[in-house]
Amino acid sequence: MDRFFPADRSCPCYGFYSPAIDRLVFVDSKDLFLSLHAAVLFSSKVLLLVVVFEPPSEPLDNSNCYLWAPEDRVSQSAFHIPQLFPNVKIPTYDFGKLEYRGASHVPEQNIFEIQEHLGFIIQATYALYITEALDSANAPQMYEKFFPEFRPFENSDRRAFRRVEQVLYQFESIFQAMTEIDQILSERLEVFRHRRYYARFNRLLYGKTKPSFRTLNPVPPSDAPVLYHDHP
Amino acid sequence: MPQFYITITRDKAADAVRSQIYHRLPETGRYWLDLSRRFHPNTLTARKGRWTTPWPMVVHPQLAMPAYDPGFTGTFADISDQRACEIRDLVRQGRRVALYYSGGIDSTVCAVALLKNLTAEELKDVAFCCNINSAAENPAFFERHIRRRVTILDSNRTKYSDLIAQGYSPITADTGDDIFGTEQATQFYFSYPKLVDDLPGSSRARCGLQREQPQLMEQPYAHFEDLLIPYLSPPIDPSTPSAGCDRRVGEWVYHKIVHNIATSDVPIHSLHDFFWWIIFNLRFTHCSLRGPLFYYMGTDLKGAITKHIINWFNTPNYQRWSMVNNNNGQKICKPTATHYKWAARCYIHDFDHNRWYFNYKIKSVSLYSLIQDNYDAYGMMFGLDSDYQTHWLSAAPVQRLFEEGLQNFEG
Repeated sequence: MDRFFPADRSCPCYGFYSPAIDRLVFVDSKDLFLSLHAAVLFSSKVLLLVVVFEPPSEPLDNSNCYLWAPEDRVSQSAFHIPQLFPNVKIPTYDFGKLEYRGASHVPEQNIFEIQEHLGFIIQATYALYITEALDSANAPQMYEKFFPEFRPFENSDRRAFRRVEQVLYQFESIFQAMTEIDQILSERLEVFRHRRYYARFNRLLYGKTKPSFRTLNPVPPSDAPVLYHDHP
Repeated sequence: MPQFYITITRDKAADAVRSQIYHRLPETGRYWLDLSRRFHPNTLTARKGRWTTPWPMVVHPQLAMPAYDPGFTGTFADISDQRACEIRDLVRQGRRVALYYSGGIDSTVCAVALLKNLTAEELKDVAFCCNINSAAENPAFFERHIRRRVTILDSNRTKYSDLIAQGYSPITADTGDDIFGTEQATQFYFSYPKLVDDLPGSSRARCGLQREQPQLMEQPYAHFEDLLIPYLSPPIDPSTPSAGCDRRVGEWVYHKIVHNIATSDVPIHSLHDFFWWIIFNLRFTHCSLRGPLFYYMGTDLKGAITKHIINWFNTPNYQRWSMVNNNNGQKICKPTATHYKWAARCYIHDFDHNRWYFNYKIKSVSLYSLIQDNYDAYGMMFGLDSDYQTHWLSAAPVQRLFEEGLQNFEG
């Protein structure tokens, strides 16, 4: 089990591998399951598999990961849904070796475009799920699968969450996605809880504490949420 | 009675039958059985050229290969639009059609052609038979062109027989791979470095250098014999890749294919041609008939195959196009999976302008998601004879026929 969740997260340990390009297109070290979820959201554009890899002897980051690929070569048509790769060796210990392959057949510019879009999805996925978890006091949606007769669990909060995920799954340009998400989350800012949700999400996605995006009032109302990290 | 179709699956039950007779068979009979570990299921039957099989075969009349016509100039886009117009004519005559749409390149070509060439009114008689995998395989296309625009039927619950009973003619894109050449080719290029690594010294150096040639796919296939034989060899134990491959079988089937090429009247020279020919000649029957055999549950299989089911890419013009467009980038533009079915990618992109799909779509197998609930049942299928009767290895007379054929197989 430890192999999937390395204790040392100072170097990337999770890679997003594109069978089409046959290279890693992004590396990260945060969370295995949110990485998989980000891959699902990105699969509307490019199918990616998540690789838990052993750090190679040379430094590996997002500036050079597209020169590397998993050592294992499995038929490129073997996968059509995001999952862990390679499934054939898991759960034995002998998996996760990368090998240096050099430039791929895909121009660097295209890989940068993938990185840009995927990077946005990953960041937005973390922002959304952390905000959801912080905001979920007494919300019963996690029981949904156990009581299918009440599915989908629907209220305005759930609808907003689903709409944001839909945007992340289907957006064409990053700016368009940012705008659409902002519109969804800023629809009910007259309610304190929603302002708090909005502020947290933006803080996590954009690194800004106060609501500050396009549709926001630059002067926060007097009951604007005060978050712990607002304080020095 | 000769068979239109034969298959040997890797199913456990079929394995049990095979293991009972395997040790009694001559070498060539064993090789034929072993091939099912490399070409699963083993359904290799030729439409042209000499190709012996353990049981007498006949080419299905609707699946015959047209004559090679080097002067054929139709483009893929024109032929696809013409094909849609043929469907449009059927609709105008009062027929309803249902496209099995997987979201893959072949069925998306059909979808694009129909959406381009039929009016909104005519499209009311066209249903899209798909499932959650189809939507996820090309979500942008599903959202923009299918959802809320055409009638959707759930392909997991709607077999060919159900559609026919509802008055639809099912449309399948199942022979798209045959028109474009097999994915075995792109996977060969993908596996090339590993195949080279496994060669002995002198061959390794030569084949390694060949890979650097810009026109790799256009080189004579005979130059790659040292790589093609291991590539065509079945694994000794599929569950243990490190156990290696059975080179004798690979050698046997390679020379069998070469002999088939030599006795056909279609020019096959390059590596590209070689792989294209494997599917265009040897797998076309399988790709055409597997759908009706595995996904039709009615009692009139002959009627389903000959009257109701529309095989989109099985037309003389698509096949003529396929025969004169090798080695020009129309099928596999570059030796990578993202350049497979290039003319089809361009046709789709001209319509939907989705550069992600155009640049990064790779093949995924959709048929098995349709038949997985009944997959065990198909494991014992053996053949379809020319009287449209299916034969199953669970029956003793079929087991005898099976063994006799393999015993007498000349190879």
